[in-house]
Amino acid sequence: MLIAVLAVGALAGCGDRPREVSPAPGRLDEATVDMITGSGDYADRHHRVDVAEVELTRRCMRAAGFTWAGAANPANPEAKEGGGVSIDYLRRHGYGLSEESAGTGPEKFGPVVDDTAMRRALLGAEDDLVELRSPAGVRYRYPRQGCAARASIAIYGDLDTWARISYQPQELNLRLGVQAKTDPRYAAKLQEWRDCMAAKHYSYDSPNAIVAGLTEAYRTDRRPLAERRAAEITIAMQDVSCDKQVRLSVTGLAIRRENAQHLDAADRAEMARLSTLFATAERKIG
Amino acid sequence: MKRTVRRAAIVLAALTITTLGLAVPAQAAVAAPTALADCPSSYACLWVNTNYSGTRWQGMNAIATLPSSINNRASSAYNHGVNCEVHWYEGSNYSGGQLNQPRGNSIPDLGPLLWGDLISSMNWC
Repeated sequence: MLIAVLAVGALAGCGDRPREVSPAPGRLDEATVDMITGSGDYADRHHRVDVAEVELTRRCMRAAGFTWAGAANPANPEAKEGGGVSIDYLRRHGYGLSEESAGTGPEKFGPVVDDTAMRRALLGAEDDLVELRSPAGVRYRYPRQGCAARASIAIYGDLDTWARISYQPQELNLRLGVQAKTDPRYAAKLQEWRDCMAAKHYSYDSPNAIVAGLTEAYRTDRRPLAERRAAEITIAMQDVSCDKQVRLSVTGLAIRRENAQHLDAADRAEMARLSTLFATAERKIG
Repeated sequence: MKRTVRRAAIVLAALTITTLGLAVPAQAAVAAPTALADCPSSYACLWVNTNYSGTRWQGMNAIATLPSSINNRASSAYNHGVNCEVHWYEGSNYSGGQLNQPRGNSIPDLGPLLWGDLISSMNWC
């Protein structure tokens, strides 16, 4: 591998842990648990910061002579209660398996002329990256120059804080998600979801099994796409209806939140620290 | 929203200073591996092997189920887009666990994240 480490060691932005580790709180507060699980108020709070960061980036790009078509992540009200896909999306697209063509990617928008110069203004030189190594050993690489980095620094104070807030809570959340699926309380809710779907004449082991089942069935399905999509949307809406009725996603989230309190002391201390730093960033944008 | 933008303008003052030439604080730096350059601009890319090697998949559009060549087979990931954060999902149709990757960010090994051979769908913003 041709990675040249240009600087290592005592500089901010590297290392497995921040050098000053605060003692772990006996119990994480709600805001910290929201941040770890990406739920509750954090979904909206993070969206507001994201919007401000994109706006700063856009202004920086304009000052550099570029019209940048970047966008913030849209708010997703479902995230507050542990559901990932918006009901609005399901209502329009079902599982997205019967679309006329691939979804239009936002990367198609905006000018493509002078792309290299625009990219450099936004993200700096392609070989000028910083690496954050998480306690679990995951390496995250991100640009350290350009308008995006400058906007992050303006809001978060430094790039290291931005990177840790961007990556470490979601890394723990992914781990908590795996744990939650093995919890007997989740398994019980999943059985209730199956029963609910069966009452509507659908037989699936899990929400994921629906997509797998439909994908397989569509290999030989000759119905017109519009007809197929309408049927797919009906199943998707029953799926989300049963999820809400038996509180499947909500239970998964509750288990993740509960287990967040049992993360090891170093992780809890770091999450409490990052939660405080996020609140500081938030105050900067109002 | 207006209030957020107004306050953002205040923060812009600090941003402008750095734009005009003050150095970004020192960070540990790494050079981009050459394999990253194989991923075209404006695409998000996945590789079957770690360190951006092996079969590569690249996508510009949201995709509810990745093709079998990469579905549940990815070991490294790169967002080479300029407009949006990319979202990778554990399940088809943007379901299950979600891994967000900002613009220009890369992860050479998804294994320690317990996300090796796990990604099934992708969308942007």
